[in-house]
Amino acid sequence: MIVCPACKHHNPEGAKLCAACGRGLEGFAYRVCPSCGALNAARHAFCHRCFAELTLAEGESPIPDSSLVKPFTPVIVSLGEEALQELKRIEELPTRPAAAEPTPATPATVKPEAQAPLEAPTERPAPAEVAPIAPAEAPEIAPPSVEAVAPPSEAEIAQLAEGTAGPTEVAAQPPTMMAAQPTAPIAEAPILAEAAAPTQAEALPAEATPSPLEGVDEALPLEPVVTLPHRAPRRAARPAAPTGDYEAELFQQVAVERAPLQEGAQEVLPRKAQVLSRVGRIVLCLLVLLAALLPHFTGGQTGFFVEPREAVRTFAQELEALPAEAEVLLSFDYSPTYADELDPLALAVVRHLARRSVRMVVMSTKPEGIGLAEGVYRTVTGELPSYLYGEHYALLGYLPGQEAGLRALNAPLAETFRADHVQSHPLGELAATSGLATLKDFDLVIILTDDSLILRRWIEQVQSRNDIGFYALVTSAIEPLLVPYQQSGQLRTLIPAATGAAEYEVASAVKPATLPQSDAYAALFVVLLVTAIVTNVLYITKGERVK
Amino acid sequence: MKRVLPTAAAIVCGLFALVDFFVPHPLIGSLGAKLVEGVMILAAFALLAGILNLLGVHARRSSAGQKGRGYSMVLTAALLGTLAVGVVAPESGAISWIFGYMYYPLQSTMAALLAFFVVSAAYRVFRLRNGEALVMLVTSLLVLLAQLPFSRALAPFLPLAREWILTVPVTAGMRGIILGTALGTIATSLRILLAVDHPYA
Repeated sequence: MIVCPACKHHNPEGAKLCAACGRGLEGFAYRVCPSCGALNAARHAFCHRCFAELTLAEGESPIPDSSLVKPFTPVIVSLGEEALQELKRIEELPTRPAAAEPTPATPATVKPEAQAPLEAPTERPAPAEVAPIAPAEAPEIAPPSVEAVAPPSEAEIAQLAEGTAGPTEVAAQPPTMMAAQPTAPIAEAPILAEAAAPTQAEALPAEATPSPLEGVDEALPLEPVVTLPHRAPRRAARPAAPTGDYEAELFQQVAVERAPLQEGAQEVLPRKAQVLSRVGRIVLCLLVLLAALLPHFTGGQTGFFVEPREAVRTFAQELEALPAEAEVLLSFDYSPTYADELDPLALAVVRHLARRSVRMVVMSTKPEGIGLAEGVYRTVTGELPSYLYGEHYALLGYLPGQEAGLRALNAPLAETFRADHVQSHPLGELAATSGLATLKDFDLVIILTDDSLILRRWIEQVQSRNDIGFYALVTSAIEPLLVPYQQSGQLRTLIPAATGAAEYEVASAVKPATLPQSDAYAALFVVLLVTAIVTNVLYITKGERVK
Repeated sequence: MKRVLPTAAAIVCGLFALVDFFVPHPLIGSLGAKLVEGVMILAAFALLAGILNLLGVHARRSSAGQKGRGYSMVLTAALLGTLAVGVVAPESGAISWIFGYMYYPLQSTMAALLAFFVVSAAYRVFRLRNGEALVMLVTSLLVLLAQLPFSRALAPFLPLAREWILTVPVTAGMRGIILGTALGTIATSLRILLAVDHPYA
């Protein structure tokens, strides 16, 4: 879309005259972006604001054709004595003030000399004295200045276009111009006229108010930018680009094309394979069920083989070495989802400590944790009725607030837990908690958790301020995530619960109560192993590997 | 002012918590404790707001007769019932009964299904399709074998192999993740302290 410089009417692409005022538009230098309405220089292929493609007239190139651009060749023009004198006189003349010049609107239109060499050199006859010289010897030729260029007047353009410039005018030119003038000026006249026409058209509004952007290279005129609306209405529909057509065809081809027979054969299994797969899964599920249930009736078979690892053995020895009046903090930070894995280990540890009459204080950073702890202590106190609530152990309850809650543990304990969870007594009134002021008063801190993030919070918020080593009893799933903390010494021990309970019972010589569960784990692992091995044997022998 | 006040409060509180972490001064410690107490109170109110929102969502779904309104009604009834028992008779044992005979078995049942899923997955996944699958299969088998209570009796090297897998390649990866998380946390904290991000506004 081309904007008329006089009346601002938007004319269609390729228009020669303004449809509103009739002014000539040919060669006009601005285009309106069809997407955002921004004005762009005519030679731009894409919008400077939204980078949309600018529609060009047929046969018009957004950039100059490189084939037309000739390399610059310095020339020496022999001048006569008169010409040299005249040149000297011109150089001594004072420069005309820039304000007197008609304000150029755009560089594309105010530099006819810059455009003319792209088209004219083929027609310019080479003088006889012209000879190429080396670049080092070439005289410095200043580029044409925007201010110094005075576009030809209307009469001059008309005369040039008609080729009727009178002899008097030619004679009035300086001899320098005469000497350097090509012998065929008439041939260049139309080109000059074309180049000058837009200058003349645009000079009209610029004469009234000189543009503040004058002299700035490739700047858009201020007035159209301010007066035009920010966004032009979008076109209803744009013709699809060739790439779009190609993609549409490709999509149709992909959508309609039938899948190769080989792929279809891979997707649809034969009926026999389907039945076998279904039967295999049923058999697997039955095996898992058997592995989980059978040890509860025949439990303890693997007890003979259980050999505690070093970490479990050390942990059991440390608990064994605790004095009777020692205080141990246990945090039950797990949910019922993993209770079947962590409860046996918790039971083994609590049973061991209770048997030695060690005082235990229990808390949780999970709401369900206290309920699980109640179940564990109910079992232990059922076995050891002399182990009493309030005297030997106390449940402090749920500590909300995640990081903030654990951060509060650094404060005096009585401020963090105002009362116990079961009897709602202040901590000072319970024998199990009466001697506890802060977290540092505990001899051991044991954390049972199924969430590595919780243990990280403990390390970040509590251990960093108290320098207490934690004993972490965790699910097997999160054990690998916590090994770095054990290696750095932030965790004194790290025991996975799946096999840890049986190992702890063996190491601490307490009554073996979790061996049936250990058997169940062993049976499940065996089922898993056999499944993996059989699957691969079948897979390899049947030759179903993907090539 | 709407943005300035929360930003200023966040920056002051954040800087104060940071100073409290590094400067062990009783005054700063007590003020830091007050801030933490405020956080916990806010967390309690957030929980209350969450419960009210949950009730609102499911009440709307039930009244509008949308699909799954039966589940919404069960959820609302269970929530209100447990809340009522917990508020009216917290020491009656009813809460323990709900926990021990409803919540615990349901969660354990869901977890127990995991064994079937894992074995079924092993049936399909542990196939030697390529080199990576071979590495995964061998590693898995080694770790699984070492998990057995009688692994030492089976093969003395199994616990050592498991230990090496856990302490060398797995720990290397975990260290990378932890370091990345720590750097991300520092960057996020700085952005909040410098008021570049406004997650609270």
